[in-house]
Amino acid sequence: MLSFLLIILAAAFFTGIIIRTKSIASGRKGPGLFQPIKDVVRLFKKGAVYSETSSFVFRIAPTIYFSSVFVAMLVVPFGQSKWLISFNGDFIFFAYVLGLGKFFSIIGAMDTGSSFEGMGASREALYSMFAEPAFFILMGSLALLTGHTSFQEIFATLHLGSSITYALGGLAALVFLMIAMIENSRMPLDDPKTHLELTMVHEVMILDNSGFDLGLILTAGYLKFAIYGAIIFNLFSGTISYEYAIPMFFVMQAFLAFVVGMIESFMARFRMNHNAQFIVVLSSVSLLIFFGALLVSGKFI
Amino acid sequence: MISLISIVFIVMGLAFIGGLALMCFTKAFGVVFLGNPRHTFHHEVKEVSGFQLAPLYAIAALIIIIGLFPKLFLDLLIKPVQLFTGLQQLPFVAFQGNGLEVLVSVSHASWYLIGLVLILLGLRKWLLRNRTITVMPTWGCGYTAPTAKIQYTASSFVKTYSKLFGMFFLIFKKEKEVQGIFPTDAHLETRPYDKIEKWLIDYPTVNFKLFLDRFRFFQNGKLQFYILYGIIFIILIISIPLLYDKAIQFIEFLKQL
Repeated sequence: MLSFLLIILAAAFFTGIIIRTKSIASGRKGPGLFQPIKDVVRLFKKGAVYSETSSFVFRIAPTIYFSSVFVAMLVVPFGQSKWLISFNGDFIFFAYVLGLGKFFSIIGAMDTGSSFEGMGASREALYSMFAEPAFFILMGSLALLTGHTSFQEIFATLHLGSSITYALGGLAALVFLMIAMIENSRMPLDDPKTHLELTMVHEVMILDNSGFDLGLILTAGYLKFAIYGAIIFNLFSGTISYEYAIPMFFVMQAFLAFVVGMIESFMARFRMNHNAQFIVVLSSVSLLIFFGALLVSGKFI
Repeated sequence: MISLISIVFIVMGLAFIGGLALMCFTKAFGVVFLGNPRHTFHHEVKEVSGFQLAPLYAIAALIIIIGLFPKLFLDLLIKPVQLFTGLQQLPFVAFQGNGLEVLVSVSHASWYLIGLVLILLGLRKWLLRNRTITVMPTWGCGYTAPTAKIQYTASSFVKTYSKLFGMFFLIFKKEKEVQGIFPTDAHLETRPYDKIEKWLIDYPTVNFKLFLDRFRFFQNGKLQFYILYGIIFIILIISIPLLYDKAIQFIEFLKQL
């Protein structure tokens, strides 16, 4: 229950902090911290416009996407406590329930019969295909380090003691952050502000959604960021007691949002052809972490 | 060391399978069923009758039921498995073991997902009941002249992927280029083919068939030859064991000398 509430609370201000950081870094004052929530509430109050080419798939796809992100949220633990879904191998379930949501958002985009959404669908399918090995190898190396295969057990028994494990933890946090950027389609892979055809990946898939559906999609995006922030927090905080862990959680989420905002302000988007290379580089970093885990657990050298 | 590296490749391969499955199914389903029709047929296109569709729906429903109630299915499955493998010491409790207990948790989580989807769909219906819902042509970032040809085809959907993994594919291209200042028409058709399938399956099959073609004279369609083959077979069946016994006797006799 605790992780669920904390992630929802963090999702409320995560994107607001990113937008505020970007505004202040470019010299503006920027919107308030809860502006994204107000946008979503405004969208929930509107009617909808549907394309005449689209079928029932387009109408149910945002709902299934949001539900998959919500169910993925139920898997993530907080420190020692788990909630509704926790079993051996649940990180595989986590990755693939998010994949189910992605599948529905992709076919919802293909349903509109427009070349823009097809382009976004094609790119999104490719990038998520490359980002999966990075996630699995990383979780596999964490499972190897701790000997357990469930999120909650891995994070509860992960002790960062020696300098090698601190380095591994730092690298793992970096890889998770990059995976979060890929999944949420932020820089340096995709610019969420641009609406130019050559440069969109995720924004272009949701061009035709409006009203309640768009509100669901935006909320799912905010929740995904907070989920990955919670995973990164769990990497470092397995054994801290609750009265310190809860404030640290919010501090770390705010810090991550600040870092994401800084990356977005000072880095341009990669060339579209180099995006795939970048994601494969992430898999190589995960492999490095895997070998480091083998080193630490004594199975190598 | 070798096993370690092979484990890494196995893990990466397994992880790729999920992503490739996503790409394959979105491509197939999206290109064939969704959007505007990409090919106009000269006859009327309509769905077949419900009686032809009912078995397909039944199979799909069975697959979903097995996914949502795996324990029921495993309980039904244990009886034939016991018959074939002789696991008599297993009581009527179904399979135990780490891997199969995970299925129960996964199906619980799937129930959460389905329940949430139904709740959200109901909420959406309730919220949108009094609001205006209009149906208009696809917005698509303000593109004013949409046709069916601007949609993505299967080849273009996976173009980036097939460029990256181009060494595993053969791409056949039929192209009529745009010519002149006022071009009349042009078309481009690409078909990919798997190189591994060509070298591992097609080439051996074709060469094996060529080898077997040398013996095609046996099948010449004349009834007399087929009766002759039958007679030869009966003669051989009767005479070869006799000759074999005689040869064994002869060798025994030679050994005694």
